Amino acid sequence: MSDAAPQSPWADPDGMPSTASAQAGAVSPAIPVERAIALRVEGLSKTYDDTVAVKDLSFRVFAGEILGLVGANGAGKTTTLRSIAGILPLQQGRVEICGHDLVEADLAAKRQLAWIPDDPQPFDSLTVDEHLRFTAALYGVEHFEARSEELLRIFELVEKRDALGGELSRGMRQKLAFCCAWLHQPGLVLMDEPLSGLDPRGIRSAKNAVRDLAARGSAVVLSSHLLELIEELADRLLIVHRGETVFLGTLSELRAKFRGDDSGSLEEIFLSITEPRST
Amino acid sequence: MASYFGNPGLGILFKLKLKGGFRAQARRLKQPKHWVFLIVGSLAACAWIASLVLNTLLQGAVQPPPPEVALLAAQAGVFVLVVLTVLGSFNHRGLYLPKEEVELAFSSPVSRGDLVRYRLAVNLMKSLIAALLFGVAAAMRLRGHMFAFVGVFVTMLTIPVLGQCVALYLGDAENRLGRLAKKLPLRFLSIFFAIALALGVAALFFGGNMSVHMFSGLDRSGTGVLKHLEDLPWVRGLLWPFTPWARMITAETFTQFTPWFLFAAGFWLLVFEWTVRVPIDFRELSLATSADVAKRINRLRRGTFHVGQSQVTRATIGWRVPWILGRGPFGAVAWHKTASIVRKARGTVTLSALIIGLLTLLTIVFTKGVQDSHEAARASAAIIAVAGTLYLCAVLRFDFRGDLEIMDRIKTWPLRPSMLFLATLLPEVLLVAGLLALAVIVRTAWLGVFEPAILGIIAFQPLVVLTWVALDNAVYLFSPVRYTPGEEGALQNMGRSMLLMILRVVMGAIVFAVAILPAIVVWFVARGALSPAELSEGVEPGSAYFEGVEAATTAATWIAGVVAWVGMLGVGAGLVWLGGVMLERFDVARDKGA
Repeated sequence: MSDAAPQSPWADPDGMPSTASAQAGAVSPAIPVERAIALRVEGLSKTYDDTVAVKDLSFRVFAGEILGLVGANGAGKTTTLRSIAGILPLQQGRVEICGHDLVEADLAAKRQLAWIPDDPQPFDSLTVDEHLRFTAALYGVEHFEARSEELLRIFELVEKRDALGGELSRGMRQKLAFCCAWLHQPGLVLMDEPLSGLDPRGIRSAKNAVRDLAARGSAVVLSSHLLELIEELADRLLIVHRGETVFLGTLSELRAKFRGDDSGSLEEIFLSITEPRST
Repeated sequence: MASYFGNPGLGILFKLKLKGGFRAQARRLKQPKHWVFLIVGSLAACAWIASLVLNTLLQGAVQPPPPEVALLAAQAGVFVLVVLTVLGSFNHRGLYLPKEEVELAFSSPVSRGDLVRYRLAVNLMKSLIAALLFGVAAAMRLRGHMFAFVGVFVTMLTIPVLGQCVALYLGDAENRLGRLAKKLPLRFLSIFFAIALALGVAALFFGGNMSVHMFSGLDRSGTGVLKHLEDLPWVRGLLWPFTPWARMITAETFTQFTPWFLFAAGFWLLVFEWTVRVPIDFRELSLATSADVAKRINRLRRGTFHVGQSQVTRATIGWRVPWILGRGPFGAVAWHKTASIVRKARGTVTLSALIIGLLTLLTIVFTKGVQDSHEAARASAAIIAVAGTLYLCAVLRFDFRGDLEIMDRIKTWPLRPSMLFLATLLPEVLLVAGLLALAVIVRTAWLGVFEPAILGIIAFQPLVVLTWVALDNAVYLFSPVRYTPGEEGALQNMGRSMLLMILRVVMGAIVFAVAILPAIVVWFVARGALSPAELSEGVEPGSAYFEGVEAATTAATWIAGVVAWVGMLGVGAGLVWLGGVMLERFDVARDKGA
C-alpha cells in the first residue's frame, strides 16, 4: 500500500508519524509514512453495570497495517473489537471505518468491515458453498465464484464445500469464517483469537492469508494471547490492561520504553507490564 | 424476496435456510433407522388425529354455538393469545436472533429495519402451521367455515408481529430504565402475571355464588360459562378491544366479514410497518436474549425438570456438601453429584418435599374408610411408595442428563464404568428413597401404630428406585434424546421417543418379573411347607389349624420378601452393569449434548 493516496478523504489529517515495521523490527514489510486511515477510534469507553470494560481508548490503524491487540483475560479486548464491529452499541467515543462514522453511516462503515469472532458459529443447515453465496449477497459482491474458489483452495475447504455448517469441526468453522471475511475484500478485518482450533497447516495458511490481506491494503486488528504470533505478524501493538491503554507503538518502541534497549521478547515485557500489583 | 428485505443477503439467507431445513430432513433419511423413527412417529401422529376424528364422529356432529356465544368465545380466545404473547415477550426483549446470526447480523451492512423485517418474516413462517391448524379447527366449529378459517389465519399471523412490537418496546423500557430494569426479575414478573391470570380465571369460575349460576348452565362446549361471563361488565370491557377479530372470525356472510377483515388486515400491516420502524437500539438486549435462549435450549436438550436446568445458587456456596459415600474415587463422583443437587436444585428438592408432604396428607383422605389403623398404615405406605416413586423419579432427575456436556471428562475418570454409573446415580436414589421413607415413617407415627410391613416397604424403596433410575439411564445412554421444541424432525423424534418408551416398559416388565417371580414361587412353596399337615380341628378363626396357616403365611411372606429383596438387589446390580456397558459405548463425538 505504499501507493496509498495521501489525498484520500480518510487520510490522517494529523500526519501521524509512521510506525513502519522496519522500525519495529517485525517481519512484516515496511509501511509507508503517509497512508490512509482504515480505522480511527477516539475515546472509546464501555461500562457494564459497575464494571469499566474499556476506558477512553484511542488509536488508529492504517491501510495495510496489522495491529496486534494484546491483553490479559478480561482486559477489554473482545469488548473493544465488538464495539468497533458495531455488535455492541457505542456508549462513549467515536469509531470511523475507512472514513465512515460507525454511528452516522453505519452501513457504509460495515461494508468495509469483516469480523471474525473467537468461536465462529456457521448456520447449521447451510453448506460451505452456501455460506459464501450468502456472504457475497450480504456484502454485494458480484461474480464472487472465482474468488470463492480461490479462498476454498487456500483454506483447504474444497472437499468440504457441500458439508453443512453443523458438521464442521472447530478448525473448519474457523477456516470458513476466514473465507467469508476475505470474500468481499474488506478495508478492515477484526480478528478475535483467530487461530484457536486450527491445525499447523491451517495456522500457516491463516498467517499467510493475513499477510496477503494486509499487502492488498486491508487493515487488520488481531487480538490474540499467542504473543509469538503477534510478534511475528503485527506492525504495531496495542497493549490494554483493565480496559486502559498501556502501550501503543512498535515492538522496538515497546522495548525502548520498558527495557531501555532493543532486547527482550514481547512475552517478557508484556508479563512485566501487566504483573498484578502486590498490596 | 431480496428487495423485500432491503439487503439481498437476507433474502438469500431466508431461502437458503428454508432449503437447508428440507435438505437436513432428506439427509437424515439416508439412515434406515431414521426411516423407522419417521414411520413410527407418523403412525403415532395419524393414530392421534384419527382418535380425535373418531371421537367427534362417535359423539355426533358438533353443533355450532349460538352467534353471541361464538363471538364471546372468539374475543376470549384472542384475548388469551395476546396476553400469553405479551407475557412471552418478557423473555424475548429486543429482537431475538439465533446465536449463529446475532454477531453476523450486527457486524454486517444490514439496517436495523431490514433485520426486523427479516425476523418478522421468519416468525410468520413459523406461525403458518399453527395458523392453518387453528383455522381448520375453527372452520369445523363455526357456521361461516371459510370466514372462520381466514379470520383465525389472519389473527394468528397478527400475534407474532404484535409480540415482536411489544418485545421491542419492553427492550426500550429496559434500556431507558438502565440499572433499575436489570434488577427487576422480569421473568419472575411474567410468571407472576401468568399465575395472577390463572388465579383470576379460577376465581371467576369458582368464586362466591357465581359458580352456582355458571355450572348450572354448563354444557360440553362451556356455553353456560360464556353466557355468564357476558353478563359481567368488566369482562366485556376487557374483551371489547378484540371485537374486530372476533367479528371477522364469527362472520356468517361476506358482507359481515369484509369490513372486519379489511380492518384486521390494515391493523396487521400497520403494526408490521410500525415494528420495522421502531427507533430502538436493541443490540445489547438481543445479545443477552440470544445467549439466554441458547442456554435454555441447551438445558432443554439435556431433558426436562432436572438439576441441569437450574443455575448455581450463590447462597449455597458456603454450605458443606457431605461426602456420603467416602473420600475415594467412588465417593468423589457421588460427592460431585451431591454438590450439584445442593447448589443447583435446592428449590426443586424443596418443592418435591412439599409435594410428598401433601401426598402424605392426602393419604388421610384416601384411607378414611379404613377402620383398622394397621391396614390404614399399610395402605398409606403403599400409596406414598408407589405415587411418590413415580413422581420423584420423574422430577428429581439428578442423573446423566445433567452431565451430557462433560461426558468426555467423565469418561477419563479412574473408575470402572459400572462403578461410575452407580456413583453418579446413588445420590438421587438415596435422596428419593430417603424422602419417601421419611414420609412413610411420619404417616405411620401419626397413626400411632407399629406395622412391620412398613419396614419391608422402606427396605425395598432404595432398590426399586435404583432399578427404575438405572434402567432409565441405561436406555438414555443408549440413545440420548436431544430434541427441543421447534427443531426439525418432530415426527422422527416422536417415533424414536415412542420406541424408547416401549423399550423401557418391556425391560422394566422383564426385570421386575425376574426379581419377583422367584419370590412368588418361594411364597407358595414355603407356605405349603410350613402349614399344618392335617386338618385336626375346625378351620374357623381361632383354631390351631387356622393359626398355623396364618403363621405359615406370615413366615412365607417374610421369606418371599427376603427372596424378592435379594432378587431386586440382583436385578439392580445387573442394571448397574448394563449401565456401565452403555456408558462405555457412549460416543462423546456422536452423542454430545449441545
